[in-house]
Amino acid sequence: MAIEHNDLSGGLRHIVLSGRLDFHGVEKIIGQLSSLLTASGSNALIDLTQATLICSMGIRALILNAKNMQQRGRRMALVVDDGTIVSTTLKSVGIDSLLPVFTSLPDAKKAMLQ
Amino acid sequence: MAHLHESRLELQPPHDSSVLYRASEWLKAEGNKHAIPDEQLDRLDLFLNEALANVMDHGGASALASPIRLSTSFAQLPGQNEATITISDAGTAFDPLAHSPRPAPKSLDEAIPGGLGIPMIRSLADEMGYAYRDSQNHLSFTVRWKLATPMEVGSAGIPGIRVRPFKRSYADSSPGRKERRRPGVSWMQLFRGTDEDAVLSILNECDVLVMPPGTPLLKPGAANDAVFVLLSGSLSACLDSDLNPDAAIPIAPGECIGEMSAIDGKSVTALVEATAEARVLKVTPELFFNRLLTIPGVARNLLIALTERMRRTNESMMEAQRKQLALQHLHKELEVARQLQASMLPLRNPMFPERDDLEIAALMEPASEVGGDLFDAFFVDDQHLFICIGDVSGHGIPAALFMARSIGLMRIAAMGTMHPDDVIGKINDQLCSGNETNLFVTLFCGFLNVSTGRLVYSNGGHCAPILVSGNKASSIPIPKGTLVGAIPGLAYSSFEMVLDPEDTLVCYTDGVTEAQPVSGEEFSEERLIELLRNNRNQSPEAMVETVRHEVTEFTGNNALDDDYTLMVIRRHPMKKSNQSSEGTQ
Repeated sequence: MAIEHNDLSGGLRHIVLSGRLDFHGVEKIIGQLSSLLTASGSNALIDLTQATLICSMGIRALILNAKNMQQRGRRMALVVDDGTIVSTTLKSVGIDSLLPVFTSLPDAKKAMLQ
Repeated sequence: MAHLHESRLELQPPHDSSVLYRASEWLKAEGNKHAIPDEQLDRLDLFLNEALANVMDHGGASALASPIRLSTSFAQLPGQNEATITISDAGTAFDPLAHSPRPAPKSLDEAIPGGLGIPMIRSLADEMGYAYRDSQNHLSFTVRWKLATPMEVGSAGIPGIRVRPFKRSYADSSPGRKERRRPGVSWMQLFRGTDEDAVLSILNECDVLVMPPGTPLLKPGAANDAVFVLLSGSLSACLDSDLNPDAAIPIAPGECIGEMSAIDGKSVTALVEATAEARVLKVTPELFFNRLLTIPGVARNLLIALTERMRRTNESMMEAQRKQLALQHLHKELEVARQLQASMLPLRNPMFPERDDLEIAALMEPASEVGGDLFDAFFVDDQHLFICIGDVSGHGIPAALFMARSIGLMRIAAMGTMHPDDVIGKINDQLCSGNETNLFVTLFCGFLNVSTGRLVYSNGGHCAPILVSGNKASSIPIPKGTLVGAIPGLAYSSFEMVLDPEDTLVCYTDGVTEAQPVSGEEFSEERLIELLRNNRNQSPEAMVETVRHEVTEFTGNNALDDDYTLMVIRRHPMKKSNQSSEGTQ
């Protein structure tokens, strides 16, 4: 499980979560994820295209952070490859009705920078 | 007809997040073995992760202190395959299928972050099941997938094997094909130094089987008339009757397989399966015997291959003999360990034949050669008898070593105080110190004044002894106390009671009450109490024998799943000559 980030032009923070977001993995990155999202003061793209699994605790962390950002007038979106277990899992809990979900990074950037 | 394969894994406490990793790796290996598609394997993996985390977070202390058992079953059904994983835990009873899911939120404002696990796994399962039996939650999760179409099933009739013509496979120019990088046919054992064009003209009529990892090529007892040559990937041949993976012989690309059964027409003797994706050339008997063997050099190469196979088998047999000798030596050492352990316990009935105010009998039977149960009874002075019984977590040698340490520490502690709570507290601190094994022990101990019958006792997570008094039998109240060796610095408390003359106190370990048949309920505390009440007039020695006999009758088997210990203590009326010297506590 790894977490990396870079700040894109236009005030958008791109955070890449890779590997298994199982309970063990989420425990390791949850603090860093929250820090990266709260510290930047900008909108965020959570890139899950390199994640191989996401558990309920991982989804919970995403929703919690998205709610926090929304309360501060900021937005979060997800980038997920279609047809993967991560995509199936997120759809199973209806996350696409809570957050914008994109299947490509360029599309996500374009939408978030508008 | 469904073909069912089952596999099990027991996760021993303590349970932490490393358990998730171990379980996932085991599931991955099972998935590879049965060629479970990635999508279904991912769903099983996610379920396993969710369910294990749920057991650890919400199952309570009983879940954390007991093994979590995982089992997978893989079934080949008409038209589809099915894989099920079942998690069994001793935690608080909880049926996730009985919970109605919350309505899905329509916006982030409405969303409640928690409670996602259950709806998630329910939507990812093709079928789920839950049962609570034998004080265990059993939660199962099933995924299904369609079988390969007939085009994808090999001519060998083995599901999962794809077939392609050798000509196309061998001439494939796509990068990464290992056989493409092998020039000619001389790298194959059978065709070394032979006429390449003649061989290739025959091989071009053959098929190549593309085998996913874990797919069997030949099974023991099956008929086979074809000769196979491994082109790429890896196969292993397992001759062991129990199909022990450690006994598998690897087969390298270029080697031939199946030639013995093809030659003598007898059944296959080894399990040959792919250990990584493998491409295997299949040569039919007609092509092999009538055409390939007529090419100069092929017959000689076949004899060389058979000779090499024989030499390798001889080496394997020698190695097996060496291992057998080592095992015999280990068994002898275990027998010595068993005798040493038995010598640590007062295994003589009755224990104090010289006394007429007290009668004690006991039995300890380990489930394996050595065990983790302990008991003891000895006089610390003329009037005071120290008694104890305990059960170390786990079984076998680690538990036996921990038991030896526990009983040694207890004997020392009991000689320095008359307070059983101090004894347990002291042992707890000593066992916690440097306890790298994470083993622990349940303990019940007490000091009995044999003159007055006053028993002061303390408890560290052990089951309550049973008092048989008159025509009544019931568990005695015990002070709450955490199991010993797990958390340092704990304080224990003590209770006291009076054993009247002819009262009987029966101490036991859970190997008695949790003994159970292969399928069915446990012997239970209730059954033990009733049995003791009905046999209250028996001597302690006879009681010990009766209970053991009834447990055997109940389970239908003399073998034990858990270490078994029972100690019966009966106080007799004081003779007048003794009463004159009676002391008080």
